[in-house]
Amino acid sequence: MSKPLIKLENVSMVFEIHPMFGEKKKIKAVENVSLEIKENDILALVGESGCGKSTLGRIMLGLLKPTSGKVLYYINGKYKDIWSLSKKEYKVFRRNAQLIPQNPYTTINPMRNVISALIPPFLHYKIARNKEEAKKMVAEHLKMVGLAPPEDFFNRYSCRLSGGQLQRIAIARAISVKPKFIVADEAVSMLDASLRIEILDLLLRIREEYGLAVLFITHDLAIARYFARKNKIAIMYLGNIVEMGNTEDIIKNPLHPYTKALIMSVPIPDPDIARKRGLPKLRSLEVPSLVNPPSGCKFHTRCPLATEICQKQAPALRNINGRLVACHKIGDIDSK
Amino acid sequence: MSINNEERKNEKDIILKIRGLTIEFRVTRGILRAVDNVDLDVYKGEILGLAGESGCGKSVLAHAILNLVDPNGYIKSGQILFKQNDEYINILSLSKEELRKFRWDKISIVFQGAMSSFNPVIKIKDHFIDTVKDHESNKNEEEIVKIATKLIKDFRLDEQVINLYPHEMSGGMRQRALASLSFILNPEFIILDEPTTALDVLTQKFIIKLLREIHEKTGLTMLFITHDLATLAEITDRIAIMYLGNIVEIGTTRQIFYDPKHPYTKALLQAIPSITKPLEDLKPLPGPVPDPLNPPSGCKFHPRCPLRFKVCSESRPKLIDLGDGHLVACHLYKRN
Repeated sequence: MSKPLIKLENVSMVFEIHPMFGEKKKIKAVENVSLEIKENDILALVGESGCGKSTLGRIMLGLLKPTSGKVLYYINGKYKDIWSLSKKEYKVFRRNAQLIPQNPYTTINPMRNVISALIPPFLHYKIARNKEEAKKMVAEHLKMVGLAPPEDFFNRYSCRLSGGQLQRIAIARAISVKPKFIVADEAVSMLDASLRIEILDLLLRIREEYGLAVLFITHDLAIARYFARKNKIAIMYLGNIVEMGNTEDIIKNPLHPYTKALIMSVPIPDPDIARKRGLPKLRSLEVPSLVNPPSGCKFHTRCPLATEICQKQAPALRNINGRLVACHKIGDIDSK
Repeated sequence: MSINNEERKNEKDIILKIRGLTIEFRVTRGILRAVDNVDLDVYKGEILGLAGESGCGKSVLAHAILNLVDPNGYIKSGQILFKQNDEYINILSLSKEELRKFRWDKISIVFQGAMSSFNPVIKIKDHFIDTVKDHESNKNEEEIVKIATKLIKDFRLDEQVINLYPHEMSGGMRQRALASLSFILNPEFIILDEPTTALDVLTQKFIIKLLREIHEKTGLTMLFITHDLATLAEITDRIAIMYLGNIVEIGTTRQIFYDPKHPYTKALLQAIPSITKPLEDLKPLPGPVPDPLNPPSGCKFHPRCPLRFKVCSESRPKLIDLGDGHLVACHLYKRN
């Protein structure tokens, strides 16, 4: 049984906005989220823009300090908060937790060519003894991500590379330091539809080979299903996790009203099926503001099942038939 | 129009005829041919989808219909014939004044990225008033605001939106307001360029349903442009697939999804994950994506085509009719 690599405990993130005119505003991007990623596991984090998924990913990588809660990393036999690690321990964490960001076009410094962008990590972490060795390792990694012959790519700058090629380089860079954990933040969203599964297949192969844990962030349920088919998925809404469990289970049989609405709304490339589906019965189309989120359950303003308790009290994540759901209206009896 | 309608249409049902349209852009590296000798018929009262990946020319084509090509581009050749009172007028040969009267009244367009389409210093209601007054100076403001409010409410926006400035609304709200604005003059033809792309999935689903309802009520002709083929499954009567400036296949929605003929269409459908399709059925589309400035000879898809043979690199296939309104540009097929 693999143990959790990273644990988030009651993590909240509040951003303060200081506009030029008017009062300071607070944005509650992430609220009271507890989550863990096990070694070698995949968790797809799905939600619409503004739900807090990217923020959560950055918190997990130590790129953002949460306003409250703990980010625990398993190191030297113990779980330690990454914000209280020693310098030495932090270096280990930093190396083991890597990011593949969304925009392949801004991921590589445009002033650097491929070889000069990929060499530094090998030297910094002393994985290679010198520049020559590092160059050989870069070549191996380029081949690994399907960019062959690697020498063709060494001297290219990002303006001469396609989105797909750039994303492969971002993957090569992330795995160059042999991390244990990767956050892929909308890693294929900016690529053309026909190229996505190729990149996802590559990432899956590499994950298998390296034994990586992956937090796969996306707004696209179909992509999440593809990547995390044998693993878990968590659905976020306005800073909260509303449902979490086995990917196939949740997609076939969603419990939370928001998840149900999402599944009813995802475009399906099948005209007969698509045209038979009805509209989810939502009370409102407006996504509430993060500055002034609704009280109690944040989904209550739109939820067809909402009653008084939903307005008053935020539901906790409860275990229902082997998955976690945050909803007052779903009991174990009527979970079908 | 039923999606099963596979009858041949009469000459007199065609509301828009595009003939031999070629559009080029001057860029630093040379001349980019974004639209390459395209012929397309749009039937009165249909919803035609125009799908393709980034760089295929669909957006440029759509903008050209209203003679709105970017300043660094030019229409090299071709005609865009619009049916008016039993005869066809070439939109490209209209004078500035004639074009101004024509736009929005006969054909209107909903752009993606709604923010840049609004005047930031006037309220939404003034957008409606200005637009109507520009075309029909005899309507009074009260009447216009009444119609505008109804349209706004059709798109499930609060009637108060009428009194807001564009920056006071969210991106999703602006997109809906823009869509409603395009209906104010009861145009015969609406072009929608990625109208739902920036919206959350739930709003997307709603807008698609609303557009279908409007279409059923009014028999309006719509041209729906998107890179997301799945969204078209629910709404279009026919779909045209573009690749690197050419139309490679046109058919009814069911023909395209259930019986695609062109290898690119087939590959595209197989490369798009959905939440219902079995994951084993997916196959990546082989790369690399060609350089649009230096497209392949003959059939532009040939380097990536698993079924290519000698003639494919030598001559560009023309669109031929397979007999039931299903058109394909591929050497594998002979005219029926």
